Amino acid sequence: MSNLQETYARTDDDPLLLGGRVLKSRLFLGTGKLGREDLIPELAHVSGAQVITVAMRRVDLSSRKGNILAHVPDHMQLLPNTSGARTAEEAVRIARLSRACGAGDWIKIEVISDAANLLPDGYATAKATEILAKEGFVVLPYINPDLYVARDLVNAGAAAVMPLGAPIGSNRGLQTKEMIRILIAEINLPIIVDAGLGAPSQACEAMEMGVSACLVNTAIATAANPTRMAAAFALAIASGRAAHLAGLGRVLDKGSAASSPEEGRLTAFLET
Amino acid sequence: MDPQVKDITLNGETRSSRAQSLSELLVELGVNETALVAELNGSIVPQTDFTSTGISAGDTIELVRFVGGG
Repeated sequence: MSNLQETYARTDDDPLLLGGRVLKSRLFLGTGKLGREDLIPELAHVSGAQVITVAMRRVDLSSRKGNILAHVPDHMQLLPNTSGARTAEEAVRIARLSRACGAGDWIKIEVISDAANLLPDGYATAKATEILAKEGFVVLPYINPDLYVARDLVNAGAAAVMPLGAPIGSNRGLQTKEMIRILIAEINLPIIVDAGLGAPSQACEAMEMGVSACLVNTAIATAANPTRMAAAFALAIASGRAAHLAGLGRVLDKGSAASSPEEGRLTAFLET
Repeated sequence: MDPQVKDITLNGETRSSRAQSLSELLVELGVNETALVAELNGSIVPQTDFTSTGISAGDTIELVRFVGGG
């Protein structure tokens, strides 16, 4: 980018305040499905991401894998998820294990009991959020973009709400756009699109609408070149944010409006 | 039977162990990792307490760690 572009598309004077942190980057990076965990430092570097998700699983006694945290740059905020939880109680248990494992206070609540559709359970998510917020966690719940669930989460002490754009891992984009638009208008917490975004243009559109950040995993991990895709998402998210701050121009319901002035046309001049 | 050998349930599977503590169990398993956490009969045990946490016959132990996820 040129210096002028950097001046007007800058995002460092527009940080996202979340959980006591000042975040310059509005791209949250997922680490699932990466063929190589040693890609993480490069993805973090080229994207500028400051928040990174991980999951908790039983130690695999039959294989020796390295510690994923060894690949996560020190400056990054860990956002462990509660994937695998089917109930509020299991999500709470995973969150407490995560904190005891040294991951800090941030937790993404993910409660999924429907293994076929992998949709989050809003009621269980709200119950887990209420318990964990009282225990001092910075709770980021993953939900269907449902206004009533989102309101419950506000009351339960969530730090943000994270609606899905499309079914998890699908790369099908911002299918829930109209519902997310309602959350942006009604919910006084950061809205972070999580799940479904498959292309940078979709993340850009979400940011233009006014969401506060996007969490991207599968789109980067399954790209032919994850490093280039991480950089592309970072640019798209910064661009969408800049467009949101600029204020999108009006949309005409019908008809057209010339961009050049109607007055003083050369042909009209010649006719007079 | 060796009185030191006891049956425990580790990560959902029954196995025999001679370990007297969680840290001895890790040595027995050949697990040499940092950033682990355990659950012993449902109570969380941070890794710093593995040496001082004893194991008895019939204990249910979960040994977990972070992996890639979204």
